[in-house]
Amino acid sequence: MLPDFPEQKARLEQILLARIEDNVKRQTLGLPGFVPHEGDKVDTQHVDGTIEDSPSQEIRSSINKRTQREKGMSLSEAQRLSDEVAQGLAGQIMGHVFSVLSEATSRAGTAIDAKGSPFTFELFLDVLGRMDWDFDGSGNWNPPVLVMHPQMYSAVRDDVVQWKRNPDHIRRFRALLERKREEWRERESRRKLVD
Amino acid sequence: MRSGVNERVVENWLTSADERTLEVPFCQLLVAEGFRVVHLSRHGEWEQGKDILAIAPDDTPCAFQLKATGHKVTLAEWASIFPQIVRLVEVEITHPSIPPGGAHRAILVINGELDEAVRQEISDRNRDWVKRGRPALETWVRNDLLPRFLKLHTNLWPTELHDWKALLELFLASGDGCLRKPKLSQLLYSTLPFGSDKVKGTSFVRAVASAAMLTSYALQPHEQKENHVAVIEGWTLYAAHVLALADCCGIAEKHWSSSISLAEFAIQQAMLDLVGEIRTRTDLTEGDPVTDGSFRRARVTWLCALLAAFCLWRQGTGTIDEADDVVKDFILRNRTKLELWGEATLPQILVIIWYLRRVLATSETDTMLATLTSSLLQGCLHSGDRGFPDPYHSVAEVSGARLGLGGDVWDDGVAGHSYGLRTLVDLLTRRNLRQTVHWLWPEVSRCVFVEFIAPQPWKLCLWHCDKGTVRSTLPKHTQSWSELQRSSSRIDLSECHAYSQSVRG
Repeated sequence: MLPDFPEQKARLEQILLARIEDNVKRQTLGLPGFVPHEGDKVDTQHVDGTIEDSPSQEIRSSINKRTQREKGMSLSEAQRLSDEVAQGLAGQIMGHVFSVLSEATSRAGTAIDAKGSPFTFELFLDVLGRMDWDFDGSGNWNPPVLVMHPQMYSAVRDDVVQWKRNPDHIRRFRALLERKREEWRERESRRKLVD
Repeated sequence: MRSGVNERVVENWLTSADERTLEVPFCQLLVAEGFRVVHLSRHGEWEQGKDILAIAPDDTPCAFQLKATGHKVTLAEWASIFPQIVRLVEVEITHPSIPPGGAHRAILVINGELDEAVRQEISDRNRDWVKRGRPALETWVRNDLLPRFLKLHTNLWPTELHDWKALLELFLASGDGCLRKPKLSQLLYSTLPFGSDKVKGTSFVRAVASAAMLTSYALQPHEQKENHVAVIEGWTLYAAHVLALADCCGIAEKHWSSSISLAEFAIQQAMLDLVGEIRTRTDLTEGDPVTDGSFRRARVTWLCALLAAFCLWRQGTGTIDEADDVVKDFILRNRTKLELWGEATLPQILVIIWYLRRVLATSETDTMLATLTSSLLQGCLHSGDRGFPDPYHSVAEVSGARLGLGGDVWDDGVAGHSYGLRTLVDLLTRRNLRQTVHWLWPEVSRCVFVEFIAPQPWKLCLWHCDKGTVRSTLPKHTQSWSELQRSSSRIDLSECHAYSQSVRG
């Protein structure tokens, strides 16, 4: 064989893999990932004792190395390829996440089907009103992440700026915030040991 | 070519073994050949010149003296051991398992050879001993032992190249680091006949004896460096695999009890050696003191835990001597220097608490348990999104990651997930520490209890299970104390091996 540099190339491969991991994390909104070390199944036991399977889904992204063997792949090409792989993986992960979320929200009755109507402030408040809001120990709101299709975002971006300036919208939002803070306090006060 | 490697490994191991490291594998050989080992002595402690007592397949009692010379014994060396040989041959065996007054075989076992002059001397002495009604001295030297050890492995050597690689890597390791437990486990699992329906009593005994030899080869570098903790871990791993195989194949206790007893003996010896080292050391620094500081508290925690477990084990068997005083003093001096570096430390700190509960007449151990739970909650919930290193990460991995030496032990963790929290809450409840649980519950209710459920109990004895379920359980926001008391008092041992249940007390 010809002279090779396996140790350096292995290290470079590690760096590229780390780049893929970082990109996937960023593109999946930093969703925490619990990694089981053993077994082939994952399930969840709820407070009422019911056990729900958490079906796992294989995520894969292939690399078609269209490299010119006589030139080899440059570092920037390798980085670009890694970014493509990360995008493919992140897309599949988010697809799975939304499918699980959709099923869970439908079951819990918190899903809203707008039936093609525009994304209005009323709809926005309705969506938020059906969720449990999270606050930190000092009562500051940890807002959820709103995910929307890029086309929809383009359509509502200007409206959202207007919502923030509308005194009536601000008042209604603050009222909801206070109600949700009270609900959170009530929920938190239930975290206790009783007889 | 591979059979040549076999022989080289066994020969190299046999030649360089000392008496202490030879003792247990030699007994495994005896067991595999049909002997019943009835006594093993900590080397040099028994005064009858007999290291091992066993009953041969024809019911003849046998007394063995082991001498690890590794080379040809000269007449001068023979003269130095002759008084022990006289006791081996002339002093009757006194042991409850051996009827008094009967004849016995006296066997000198040497991992080297005998000089011609020594052979002549033994022949002359034997004529005299036989004339006086004493047994003739038998000698088992390296060239007798080597084929017997090799025969033990027939069809039981690793067959896959990666297993050979694992064996050679373990055998050629420097011996001063941590034992590479996943590697040893991989080796044991792939060479033991898991999954075979043809394993019966005799083939099981041979298989586990062969595995004991592999364990000895793997542990030799650590034995040579007197790395007692690695030796303890190696034999513990071996015992766990033997118990797993016995359960997996439905093997009766009579076929596995000897191998387990020998592993227990090896662990006890290494534990006593560790106690001896602790007693004589002026500090607990290992290697270069400049870089040792970051590992020191984890080492202290590990040592305290092992020694505490050892003393609890001995107390269970009614053995108490000066070693217990050394351990007690060591743990009492170091109990404020423990470190919770990850969930893998929980069993370590728990065993220290259980030990201290036996030696301290105060409520300090309840405070320790409460602090441990509170610290775990702090680590799980307030370390950012990373959570706390789960129990699958070793101290070496966690220390390396914390020091920025590579590896990320937090990649697979999620804030609030814990494998050990439910156990701690159960223990607090069993101790009736209601105020503590009351104080901690709001934080506990934010966590997720995680556990691994193996498809068969015996698989819990293995290092890793491919099959099984990882279950996440969500605790209630409002928890009833009486319900918690009821659930924590239910102790289900159905998942534990019968052996674990027998040593529980």
